[in-house]
Amino acid sequence: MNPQIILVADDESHILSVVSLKLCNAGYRVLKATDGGEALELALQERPDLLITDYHMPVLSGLELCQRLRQAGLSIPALMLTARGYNLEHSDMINSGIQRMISKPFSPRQLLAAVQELLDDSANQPWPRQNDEIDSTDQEARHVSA
Amino acid sequence: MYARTMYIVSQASLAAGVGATLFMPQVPALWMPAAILVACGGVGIAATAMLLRRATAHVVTQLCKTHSQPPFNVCQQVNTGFEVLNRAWADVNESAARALAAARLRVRELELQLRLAAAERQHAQATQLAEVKNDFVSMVSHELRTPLASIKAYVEMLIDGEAADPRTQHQFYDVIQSESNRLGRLIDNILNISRIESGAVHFRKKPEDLRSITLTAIGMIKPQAAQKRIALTHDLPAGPCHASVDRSLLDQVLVNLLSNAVKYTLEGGSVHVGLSVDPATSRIVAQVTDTGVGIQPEDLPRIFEKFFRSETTSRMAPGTGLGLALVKHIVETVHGGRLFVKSEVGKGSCFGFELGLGAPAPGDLFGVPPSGGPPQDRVNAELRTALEGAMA
Repeated sequence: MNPQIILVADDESHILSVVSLKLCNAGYRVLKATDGGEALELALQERPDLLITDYHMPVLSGLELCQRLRQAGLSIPALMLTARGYNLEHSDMINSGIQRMISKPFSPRQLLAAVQELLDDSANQPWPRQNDEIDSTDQEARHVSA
Repeated sequence: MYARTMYIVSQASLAAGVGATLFMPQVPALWMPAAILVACGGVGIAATAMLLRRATAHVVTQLCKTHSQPPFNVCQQVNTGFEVLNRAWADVNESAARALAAARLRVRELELQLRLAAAERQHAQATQLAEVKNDFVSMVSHELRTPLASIKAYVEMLIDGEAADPRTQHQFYDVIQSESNRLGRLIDNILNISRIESGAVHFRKKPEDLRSITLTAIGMIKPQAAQKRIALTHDLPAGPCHASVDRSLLDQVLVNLLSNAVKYTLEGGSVHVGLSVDPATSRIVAQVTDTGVGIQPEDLPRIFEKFFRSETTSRMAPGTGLGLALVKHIVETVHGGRLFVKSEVGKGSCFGFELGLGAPAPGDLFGVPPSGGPPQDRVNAELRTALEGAMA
């Protein structure tokens, strides 16, 4: 089975490295982006299974990134990793597909657990997709390759 | 009668005057009572003149009528004239009293309006202060959390044995060290600015080698620059160049300027540090030039203000808006130097300062003179309290 792909977007390179290493060691394939624009491009190209994003980033904020991805029809579960002291508005989270908020400082162990949980959830009960057509072909393709 | 009218008019003036005195502190509002004063006087005088003319005209008409119709009774006519005059004066009195009452009412109304405006202003100030405090506290907490997040995550990775080889482990230790330094610098910035502003910091100026201070600062920023693949170059004098400065504070100036340069320069850019001595003027000039995003011309005059963050830079990276305010205090208040900045949007910025080489005063212990703003400034004091509360 091909490893699941996780896109990590953070402008703090230390955080980016540590999250990537933790996920790589756990057997995932990790894509890294240092700003929102780069992350959007990578996500549309590579169609990852999950997005982990920072809130404050140059070009596009984490929230804007998630919204743009949904607009583009790519509705993957997203986990926001942020140093903001408070949570986002619930409506913002719902509208942009952010399923989990983890605040910095964070524990890589707990982050990994949350990632596994989100991926299991999306495998068992597919996250309500906006663009069914793209997604069904996408899932089929994955099924064949698996 | 005339005296009575004068009395009434003067009472009106007095009332308006009292109104004016009431509002003395609100100088811009002084014109209001003054206008009332003039209006009352004007109304009184105009009414008096008009009624006098009317009464006199009546007397004269009556006199003329009686002269043409003999036999006439002068006494009766004069009496009638006086009656008319009396009525006229009564009218004047009445209208003056009305004008006075109206003026009093207006003064009261204005007083209430002013009080309301003052209360609204106070409320707006309090709201603004609360907002600034909130923004500041959330900014500070964000800034503290970021390096702490790295430290915590890397330590946990080491504990969990996720760093397989010694080289990776070594990298992790380096990250932990540089992020701890960053955290320490941030705390220093916050504490120093509040200490310098309240005059509570004492500093020791002695001859120090600015070249070595600059090199130390460059060394501290190197990891951050390397992370973003930013070329960090310098052009320093060959030998030491001494000036009378407080080493730890000047360290902070250079580290802040360098860390800003790296923070606001995109990946792959460059940051250059220059230091030169002008023997003709005995001044030392340090400059940090970057190829960063630059600063909007309209923001330039405000960048040294405490808590000010420009739209462009706050989008690019979070910050407390304290670094440059501290730099300004240290260069200008503590060292009597001059700070300068040039910037072009999209091309980069150049921050620098100029210090006198100064006569060395070894072991001299200086107190900090009061800073630029009034130290008892309520906003500062409250923010300091908030800060100390947040730091406690």
